[in-house]
Amino acid sequence: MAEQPRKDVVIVGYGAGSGPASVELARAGYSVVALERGPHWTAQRDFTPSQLDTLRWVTRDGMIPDFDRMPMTFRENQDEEAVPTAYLMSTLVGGATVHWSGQSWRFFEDDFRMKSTVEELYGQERLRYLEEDGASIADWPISYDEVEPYYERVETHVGIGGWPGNIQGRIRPVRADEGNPFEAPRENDYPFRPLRENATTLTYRYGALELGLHPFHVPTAILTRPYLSPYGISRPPCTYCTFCTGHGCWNASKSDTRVSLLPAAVATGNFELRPGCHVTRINHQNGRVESVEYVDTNTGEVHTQPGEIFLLGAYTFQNVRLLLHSGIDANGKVGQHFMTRSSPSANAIFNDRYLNGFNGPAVQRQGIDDFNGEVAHERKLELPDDEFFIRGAFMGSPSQRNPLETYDQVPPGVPTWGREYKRYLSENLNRYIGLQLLTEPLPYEHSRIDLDPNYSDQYGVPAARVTRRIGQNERRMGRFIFDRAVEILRAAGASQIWGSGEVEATPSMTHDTGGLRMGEDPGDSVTNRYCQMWDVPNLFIGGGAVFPTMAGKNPTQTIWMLSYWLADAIVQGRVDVDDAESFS
Amino acid sequence: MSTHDDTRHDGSEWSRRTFLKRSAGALALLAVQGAFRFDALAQEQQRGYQFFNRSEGELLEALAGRIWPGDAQDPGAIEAGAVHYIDRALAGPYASYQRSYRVILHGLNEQLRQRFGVSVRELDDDQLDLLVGELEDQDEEDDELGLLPGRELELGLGPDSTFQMIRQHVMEGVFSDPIYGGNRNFVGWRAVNYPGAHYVYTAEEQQVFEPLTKPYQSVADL
Repeated sequence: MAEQPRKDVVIVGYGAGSGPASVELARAGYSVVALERGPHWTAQRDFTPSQLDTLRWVTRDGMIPDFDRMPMTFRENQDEEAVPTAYLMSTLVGGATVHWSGQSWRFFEDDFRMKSTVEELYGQERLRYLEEDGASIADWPISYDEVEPYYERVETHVGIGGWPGNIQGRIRPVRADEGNPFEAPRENDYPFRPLRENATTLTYRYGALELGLHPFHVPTAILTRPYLSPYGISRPPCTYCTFCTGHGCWNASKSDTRVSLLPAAVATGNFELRPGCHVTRINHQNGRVESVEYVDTNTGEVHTQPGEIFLLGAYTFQNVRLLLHSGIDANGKVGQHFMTRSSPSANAIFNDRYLNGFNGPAVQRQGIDDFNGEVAHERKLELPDDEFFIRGAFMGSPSQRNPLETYDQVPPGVPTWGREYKRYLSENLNRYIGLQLLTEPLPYEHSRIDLDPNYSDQYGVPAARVTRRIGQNERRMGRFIFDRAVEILRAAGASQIWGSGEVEATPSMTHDTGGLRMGEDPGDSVTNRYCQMWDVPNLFIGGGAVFPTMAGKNPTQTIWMLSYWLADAIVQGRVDVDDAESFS
Repeated sequence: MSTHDDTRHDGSEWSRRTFLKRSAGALALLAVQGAFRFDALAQEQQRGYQFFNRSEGELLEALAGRIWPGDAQDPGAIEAGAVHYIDRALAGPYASYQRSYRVILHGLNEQLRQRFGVSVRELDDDQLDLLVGELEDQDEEDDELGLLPGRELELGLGPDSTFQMIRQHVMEGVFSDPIYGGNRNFVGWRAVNYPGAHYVYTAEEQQVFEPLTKPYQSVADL
């Protein structure tokens, strides 16, 4: 076993959770190495023109590892034996941001104080059903005001565009009819505007306006003008090709960890990327990580990488699994409060128009937050007890509806094969809208990730075992949100609407968060407010696993933001990596 | 050409259902085990197949032609070369489905020949529709056979029954880029007016509510 030269900072997994920190720490003079089990794909060599191919990248999940290499098991209840399942997550330098949609935003202010917010709005009595279901809602140990500058840094440095909905309390200050009026107040405007409208977004927007709602074009991590980031990285604007979600961007217009951050880390001269290096164990002693052990899959050699500070930036399941496998779980809280979405679906066709939904990237999208967070709390207060729920959902209208992605989208009563099926698709495939209903899941005491006793990977590391079921809140929210979606589609002029508000528990929906909860109490959480492990102070967690609660929003900008946040805490000495309890 | 494609879906054509139960309906897949012999796999190479033998290819093509029907004027899965697509997929990335296809197609052919004295070539469109419908109805039994690699592992990804597997792969052969061997002359994309691989959509193209006219293009054309 070869021991590598010691580094100041050792990163496990190079993605959204670790990318920003890798840049900031390397720029501050730390020597940084990133061990990433996946390959390093560059835009020019690997993505052009091969990415313009739905079969390879979406149908066949070209960026997602085989089940056998990334085992995971799932069960709904603790007394069941978990069965192997799969999750949709890439294995490559840059992680899921390389093939993500790029719908990118800040959480609401009250997402950071969710428990207090709902208790103030609804009172204990109304929330009793949550207790019965074992919901473990919480406040974050950080506030929106504290992290606002870090959210902005993501927007300017990684590259996120949008219409501002709230600058320092001024609602829709740039365009009276654009921007999310319910967004948390921002100090400054976005650095550029979001994608333009297309037939799909205009149709959805019309329906929302008809109902007096507040549609806006979603903020997008896709450039709409040539952009030079503060890191000195220049990239071209989007050309509106339709090979986006599930694909890497051939034009490097989609902001991701690989194109927006990695070059800035490399430019410091203090950063080393080692692709194809799979970490299998964290070596620790007396509450301090000494090194990590990894297999260089290029050579088969096993190495140890010693260092001073360690940052886990792999995906939620892998971070949890690596900790447990390495025996790091002093207070027994590792793996708890796991969250993933269970979303309803709503679809429609419009007989009076073509939408050509195949054109444009998926986040060419209008949406509403009128029913997200607690925006609609007055309406929810009036719901009968058995329909009442907390939190809500973003509701939007995605593009990128290529035939291979939509040929299954037929309403009940239409056959799924034969001449009638062919006639239906020929007439209606380009008249189709399928909404994204981004419902917020709650954390539960019984939802957790641990090690599976029966299955393991090629290195003998046990599979992550997910135990999760959903509660009344998810079911009631699903029905309510579906009904609102139907109203919008109807107001937009839909000829036929179908879908379901009934949701079921899934092991993974790509927004897999929680499991390594951050908190204020070392006895009741895994990390402190700087994503630093309570019991292993030189070990930090990058990624959504630290989220105490989720949001009705995509998590990535918050993951990037936390990576900047924790890096600043290290650089500016707000944390003591030798003694977790002594920081201020 | 059949005019009865939708009869099995409205449930009104009971005479055809009766035919199904008496003939094609007896094509229970559970009965096919044991009839399977590797040495029976003909080496006849037809249509450049890399995996299917002649009778397998013929049967699958007949099924594909009913799943996404067509003719010279309005091309379907056969004209798209969907079976050629599946053949190439099975010889490569879908190799884990080889056993499923071999057992299922061999079994169906054996049933047709041994019990009814017909080959797939002698079935007309209506009879083929009933056969496809029977496959669809038998999904649950197929699950019990454990023929599909995806099903055994309960992946939650990919097809989970014989019919869904065949249908999904046929539709992939219709709608995937022609570089994979199907969608010949873009006939799949033409049916739904999808222009394929383009680097650019303009604002004018995006903001019309009419069918888009853009040349059909493969990733190989870029």
